[in-house]
Amino acid sequence: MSRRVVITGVGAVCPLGHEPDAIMDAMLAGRSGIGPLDRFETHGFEIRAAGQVRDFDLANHCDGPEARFLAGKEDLKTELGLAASELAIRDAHGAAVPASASPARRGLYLASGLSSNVVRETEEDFLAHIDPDGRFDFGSAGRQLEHTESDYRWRHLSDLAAHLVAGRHEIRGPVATNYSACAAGGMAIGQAFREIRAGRLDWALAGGFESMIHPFGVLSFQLLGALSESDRPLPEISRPFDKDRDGFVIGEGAATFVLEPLERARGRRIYGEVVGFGTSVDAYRVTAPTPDGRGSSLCMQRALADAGLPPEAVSYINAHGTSTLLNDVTETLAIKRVFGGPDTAPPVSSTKSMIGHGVAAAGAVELIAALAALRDQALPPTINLDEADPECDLDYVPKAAREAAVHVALDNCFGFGGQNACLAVRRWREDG
Amino acid sequence: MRFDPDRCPVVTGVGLLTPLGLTRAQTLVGLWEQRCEVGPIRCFDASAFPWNQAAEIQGFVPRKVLPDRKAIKLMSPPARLAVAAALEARAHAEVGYEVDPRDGGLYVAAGYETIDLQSVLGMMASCRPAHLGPEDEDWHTIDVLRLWREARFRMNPLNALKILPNMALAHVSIATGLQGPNSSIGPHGASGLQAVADAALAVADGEAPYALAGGTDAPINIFMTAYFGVEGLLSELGRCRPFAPDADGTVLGEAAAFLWIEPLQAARARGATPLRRLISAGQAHDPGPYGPPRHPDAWLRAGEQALTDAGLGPRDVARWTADGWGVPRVDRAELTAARELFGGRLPRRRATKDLMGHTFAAAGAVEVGISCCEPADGPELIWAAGVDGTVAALVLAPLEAS
Repeated sequence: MSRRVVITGVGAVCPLGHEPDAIMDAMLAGRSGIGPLDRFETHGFEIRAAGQVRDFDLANHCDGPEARFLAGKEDLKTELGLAASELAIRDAHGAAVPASASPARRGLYLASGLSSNVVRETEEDFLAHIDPDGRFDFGSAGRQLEHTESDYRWRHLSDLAAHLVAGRHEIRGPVATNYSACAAGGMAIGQAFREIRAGRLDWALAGGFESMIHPFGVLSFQLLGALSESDRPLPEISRPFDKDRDGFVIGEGAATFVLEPLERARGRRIYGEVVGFGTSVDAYRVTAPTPDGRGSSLCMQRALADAGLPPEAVSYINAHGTSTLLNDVTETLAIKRVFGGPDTAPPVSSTKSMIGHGVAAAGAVELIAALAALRDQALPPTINLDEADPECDLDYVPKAAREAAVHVALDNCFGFGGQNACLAVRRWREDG
Repeated sequence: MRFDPDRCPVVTGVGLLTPLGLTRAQTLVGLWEQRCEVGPIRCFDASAFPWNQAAEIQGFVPRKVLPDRKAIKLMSPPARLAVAAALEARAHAEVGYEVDPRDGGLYVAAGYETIDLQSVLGMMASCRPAHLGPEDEDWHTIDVLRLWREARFRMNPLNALKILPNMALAHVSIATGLQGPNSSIGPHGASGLQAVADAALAVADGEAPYALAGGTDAPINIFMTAYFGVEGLLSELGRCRPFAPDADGTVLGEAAAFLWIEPLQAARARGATPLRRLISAGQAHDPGPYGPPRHPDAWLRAGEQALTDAGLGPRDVARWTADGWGVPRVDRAELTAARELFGGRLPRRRATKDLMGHTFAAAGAVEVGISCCEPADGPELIWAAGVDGTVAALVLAPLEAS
């Protein structure tokens, strides 16, 4: 059995908003969601910018025991995942998942990164038990840990969101948490697509959620040399493919999608059709992509082969485009390996210029940009691209959106460790 | 789901690194001797806990096993275990140059990330407020500005990479050269079996011509001990006794297990020895409280799906490899589901957690690996459940049965 798979619901909470059409509008308007990194004290620190989710309150999106469970636990990441899931299901069905999709034939594929290791937890679990000589007192830590209430202990675990969402929406089929670093969002959506296409599921919710905007998350990326320390105005710091780029801006957010077979979606809004999915792994280094773009080109080739489409069918690529020196050059090389050269490659843009790098959620949030291109027949821009790096010689849709006939779009997501994923989505038209 | 019989995925190589032994052969000898490797926790001071027993891997020296010694310092303990077990699986499959590494699939389950306490102590201690001393109430708070200015220089940037949960997959890909379809999943006790099922599906669907699949986990640390202990999942008596009347919990164990999976025809064409056919898989989710499923329903649905899709009746199953946590309420749910699934006449049952503890993200792959290396007289059902409520089931069979 091979079925056509369509996206019937989108839920997202990201630096550009909490509603999918508003996020699409903002992406096409080239609006920056990058602002000050102000979730904690950063006075005098080199990293000043972040793509933070603002005005978010889980209570505005979700109630019930799951929301009560998370209350007071400072687990923003899980809250974002729960909210985006709720929004996607409401968007697709108005209320609950319809009974026509039996619970056992529903699946959940969520992408997550590291557990939310918040400051409070670090203070309680680590710092309180390090004696003045710098030794860790296991006895004191053990006694404290042993007497902490149990649900508090589970609060930050990375598979908690999957458990809560599956319970809340009666998803009794496969439930999986994808851990493929910055490629995880694309991987999770791709796996859901495969299961529905093969007829093994009738309904799936897939996407990613992430927040590493806490002192240790930001510090980790800074020590790896991945974050921009630019002193430009904040909205101009994330500049993928620009010759003056110097690293990414940390972002956060969540995006989830309701995927259904076409025959169950008739008469409802269809954002786009998922037609192909490909993955690859660089097998090169854990800290850098293959210099010639070989690894990431494989995932695009596999997505096209999976969709049964030739390269020239692609109208737009939403790039991984992190704004780091290495990624943007190797991704350009990878695209040229697949599409031939600058003259034959489709337009490419990076919406990380507007929202920063959402890490495990990135591929999912950026799929919304691809859907925006399909919706408005316009290409979301790469803002802040004043002058392209000489080694980045494709059409990156600089500065402002542009009208274009967009039939098929690709969503690239590449991760630390060399994992790569690519999704191919096609504009939905009743006449096919 | 049934794996397409026309491209029937078979296991041709197994790598096992468990508390029972550093290789497949040593692990099998340990099983045959029924050697219990549960003992006092050595890797941290667990004396403050009532749960101070675990099944640790002893004698594993990465530089003796892993080909790239420089890469070892980039690897977390579970990544080191994963690479060793993956290389053993590939060697067991006797893969030669006829296999193109660009195509090979890689499906890896990894556990909850763990932080090497010793590596962060200096950084942690030096981010306290500078103007305070141990007698001050706020001595245990983090001064973020001090963290920025001073403590970060005590932090090794590579530690941030080491704790990423997909690093096991990354290091296995580098060690084996596999670049094909892949997925890194986790972090709980059903993940290892899910990874094996994902790989079998990729091979059966033709997405990957062959795949390496497995799980790795090294959960024995103060935090996981506390989390699982407080939740009432760990044995205070210090032993795991699945389904026993006096069972009082499980014990933590560490392991990695990997399988080389390819279509039967391809295995035969290259002269490899198929060990087992992978027939079908099932998955179900339990909506109960966070923790391993305590209700038989999810166990039953996952098992029913796997058996139905395999075209097997309850009496066709020769062996049931139980998840057997050793936690009474979880074992009761599994046993009740098994009685219903098999119609009251239970097949031969095997459970190994009494010998090597619960190895979580590795557990499902460990069980498949062991099964592939033992004599079999018919189809087998393997169950694995995770704390997120997921139950995975897998049916495998010897070559002559299907």
